Amino acid sequence: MKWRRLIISAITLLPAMDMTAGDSIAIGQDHPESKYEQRLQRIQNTWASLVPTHFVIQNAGNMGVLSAGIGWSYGKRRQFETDLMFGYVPKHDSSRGKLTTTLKGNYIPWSIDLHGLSAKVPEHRWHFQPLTTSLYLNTVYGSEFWKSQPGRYPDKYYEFMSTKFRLNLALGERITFFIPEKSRRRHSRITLFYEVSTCDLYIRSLFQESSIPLKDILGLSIGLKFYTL
Amino acid sequence: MKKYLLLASVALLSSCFDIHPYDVDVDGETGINAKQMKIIESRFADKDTLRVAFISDTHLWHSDARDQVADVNRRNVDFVVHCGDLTDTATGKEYEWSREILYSLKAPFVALIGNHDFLGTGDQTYQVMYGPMNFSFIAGRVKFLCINTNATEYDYLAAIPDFDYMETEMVKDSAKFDRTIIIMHAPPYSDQFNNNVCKAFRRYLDFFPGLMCCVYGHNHNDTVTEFYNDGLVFYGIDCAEHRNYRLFTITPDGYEVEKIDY
Repeated sequence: MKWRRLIISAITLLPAMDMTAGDSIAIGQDHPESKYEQRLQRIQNTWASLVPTHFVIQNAGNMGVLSAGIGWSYGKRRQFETDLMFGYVPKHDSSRGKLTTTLKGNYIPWSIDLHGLSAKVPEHRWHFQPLTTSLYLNTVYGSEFWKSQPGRYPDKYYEFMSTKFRLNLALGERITFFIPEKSRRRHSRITLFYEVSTCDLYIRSLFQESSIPLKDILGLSIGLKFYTL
Repeated sequence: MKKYLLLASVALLSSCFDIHPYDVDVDGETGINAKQMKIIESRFADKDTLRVAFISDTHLWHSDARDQVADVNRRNVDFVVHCGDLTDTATGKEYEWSREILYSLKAPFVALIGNHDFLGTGDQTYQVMYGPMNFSFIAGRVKFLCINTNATEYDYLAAIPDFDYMETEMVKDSAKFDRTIIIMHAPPYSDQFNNNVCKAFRRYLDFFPGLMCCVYGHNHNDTVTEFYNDGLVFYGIDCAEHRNYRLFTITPDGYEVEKIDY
């Protein structure tokens, strides 16, 4: 019980954490003179790229009732993202609640400026991403789950699977609000997204039995992203 | 009215949020075996002739399982016993799918747990949805003893088969039954049975009044065999994919077994 309270409070606190690491990126941007300074800058740039660019919080998606974590957005148009999330599966009718970890890759091919080319609005605040595609690996913790079948089984007994790791697929859409520079405190933009996802076991079941309705294996998920960098 | 509409929409919305394949959050009917056994016992406690269908290993062959249910429904069957492997990977969704199919049976039914139903937290889902893994009921003065024999799922660390449970069942309600049929998922000498106790298990069976035969699933083939070569017949029930099952007609003098292809 105490554990659950601790986990929930940790998850809810995550987005509130301040990101000050971004400030350090500006150091050493003037034309470096010596080899030492060049090297220093290179090291700093490398480490700076490891600073998470955003926080993410979302529900469901076969990762738990709620998941939260950090992420990195990269690419010329920031079209790629990697998220690392921690989720919580409540006890429900089982023996106890469970923790999960998710590593997620997103590809966002397009971003549409909702203000178009209009010069009337000084700042183009609203952007729409009509498609997001995601692939993510989820792992659930607990002795009931195994990575690959334990030695007590004959070879290839449950050949098809791991009960611990789940590969998931998701498609979704997003809307992003760019916070006007004057009023920025912690974040530069906030994104609201939804996803429709399914996992490898369900896709497998569809291959085995075509009568399974698609709606049965698809799940909805809603989330928020807070971008700092 | 508005309140109910709100509640209904919240319920609908939450049902499309997938928490986890192994989240053990059972919606709908639970404790099924207990409810169904109550129906069976009240309807057929002293009936002379019983017609019992044994089905097994439906896994994800839903279309075949639906045809099977439709076939059983046409045959004036008193009740149905599913010998286990209701699912393939034991996710909550699979449990819900197979439950929906079983509920289209006109006759009451009970379901045993198969080894596939244990995967992840599937055994916990089974216990919520169907109940204890060892259970028994009496119909037509015959005791149907359903026992969990999936020892490999416990790495042989648990009392599987549970001899204490069997000892209790030998004498429990002894005034109400004269004969016994033993039902299990994995048969002796299979990859799931605790094969160290195969012979001990056989000895225990002799303590049951009027032992008639044993019925099992697991092997995905229709078999009639004597594992111990001593006259005790074991009926192996085929999987749904092979589209056949067995129908037992039990009379006061004995029983007949029919293989049904559909």
